[in-house]
Amino acid sequence: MRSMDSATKEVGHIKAESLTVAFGQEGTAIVAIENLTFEIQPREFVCFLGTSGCGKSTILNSIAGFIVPTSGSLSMDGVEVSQPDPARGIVFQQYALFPWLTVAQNIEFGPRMRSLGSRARRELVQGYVEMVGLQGFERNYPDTLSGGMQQRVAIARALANDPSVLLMDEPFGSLDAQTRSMMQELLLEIWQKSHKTVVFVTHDVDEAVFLADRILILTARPGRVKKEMAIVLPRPRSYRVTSSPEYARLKGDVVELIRQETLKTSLTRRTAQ
Amino acid sequence: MRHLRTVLAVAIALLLWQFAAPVAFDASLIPPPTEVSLALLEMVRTGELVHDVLLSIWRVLVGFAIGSVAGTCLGLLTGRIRALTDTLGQIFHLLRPIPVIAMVPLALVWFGIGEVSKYFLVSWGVFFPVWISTHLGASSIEQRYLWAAQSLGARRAQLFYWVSFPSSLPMIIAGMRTGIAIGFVCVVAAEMSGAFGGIGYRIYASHMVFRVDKMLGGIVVLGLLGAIADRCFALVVGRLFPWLKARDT
Repeated sequence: MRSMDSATKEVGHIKAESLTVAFGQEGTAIVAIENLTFEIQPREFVCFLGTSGCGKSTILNSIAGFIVPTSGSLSMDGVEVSQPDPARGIVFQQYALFPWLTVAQNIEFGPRMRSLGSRARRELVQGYVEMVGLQGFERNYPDTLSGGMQQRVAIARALANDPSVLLMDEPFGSLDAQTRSMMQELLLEIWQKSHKTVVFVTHDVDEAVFLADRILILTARPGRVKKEMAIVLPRPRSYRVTSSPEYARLKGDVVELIRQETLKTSLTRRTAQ
Repeated sequence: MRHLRTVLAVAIALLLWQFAAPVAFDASLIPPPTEVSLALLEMVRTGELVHDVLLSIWRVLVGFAIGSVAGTCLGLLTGRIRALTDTLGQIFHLLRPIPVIAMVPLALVWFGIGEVSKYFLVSWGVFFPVWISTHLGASSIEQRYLWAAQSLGARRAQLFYWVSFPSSLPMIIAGMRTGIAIGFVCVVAAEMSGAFGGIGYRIYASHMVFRVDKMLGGIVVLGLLGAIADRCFALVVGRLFPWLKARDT
């Protein structure tokens, strides 16, 4: 059944139905996300956009298989997500590079786990080091690199395992503005070539509009999809697109929706007090 | 500058020992450094010092190897596997506060006066600080490292080798460093209670014939050995795991 599916369909298709995740004991549990339903197509670049504490990371951790949903269903390519899987690579905000491994060893981690030979690994490393522009740093330890360089390594490490889905949890959140915009362009360039599904979580409207095919705007806790917006900007995108009137219009729409949401929560908080 | 100060401080301490101690106390109880040096020279000449030092070092090395390997492996297991935390881990917690010295007579009964009882006592002493450090390190590994490794396809056994072990390494090393010091304590205690050689044995034997100079000589040698062992350990660690140093800066 599954092999038939994957033979006829493209991989990297994610489907969530009434997904709910609550933390803690029943009764005192905190509901992080509630009744979330969405579908992500193969090769699509989707951004989850929401204010802090709306359960963005929880969505990503569920898709990754780190967290077991409280109720609802979540599947990838027709198979229920139950545990982490190399088909779903992840990039965290805090990089999570292994400080005990060099840049090259970090990148080849996935292939090494499936016992790929050392020669094949070396070629793989070389390719990905070039892709993210880190030639000459192969033998460095992560702690000797800047934040932007570390995040390049993290992206290369996730890609070197050739996942069909790339999950990104505010990956550029701790970078300075200059580095961030460079990394965004690099990511688009890589995505354009690799044709992977990307699920990207952020609270930065500019980032979401610039990167995504589609933005899912989340409500404040518990997270639900408030609105879905297709970003119909041309591909491939360069940073110049951010000065176009179309971009400004889309961004304005998104900002308005987010503002409503923030206002609503601050109002409910005030009345609660 | 800092070295100069250290040298100066040691020199002053030695001078005080040489000239002030005999005035303040009975000189036969605290022989001055010159006499202790002479005693040491004599021990070197007869060959007993080299023999004792090598014997003690070997015992510490063997016991340290056994104790730290066991402590590391079991610490990783009790730190990561819930079922072992609650069983084996709890048993180790009960055994840990027992002073090693209390085990000396028992070890002699169990393993006799030969080498095995020394190895046993040193391993026992080294095991607990290494185990508890490793256990604490392994039970507080950052979740994102484990998640990252799992999403890259690492299986359970691979997680131990590639994530749990290196991630706990700073703690393991701290435990081993304590272990070295305790190893020397154990070897001396063991040698004093029944042995035919070793620095502890020499100090005890000198005590029987009231050679305070030789006793002090043995003590000085023990101090030096401990310090050298610690330095050597730090050097080896720096060589083997260069990323630990990168973390500090």
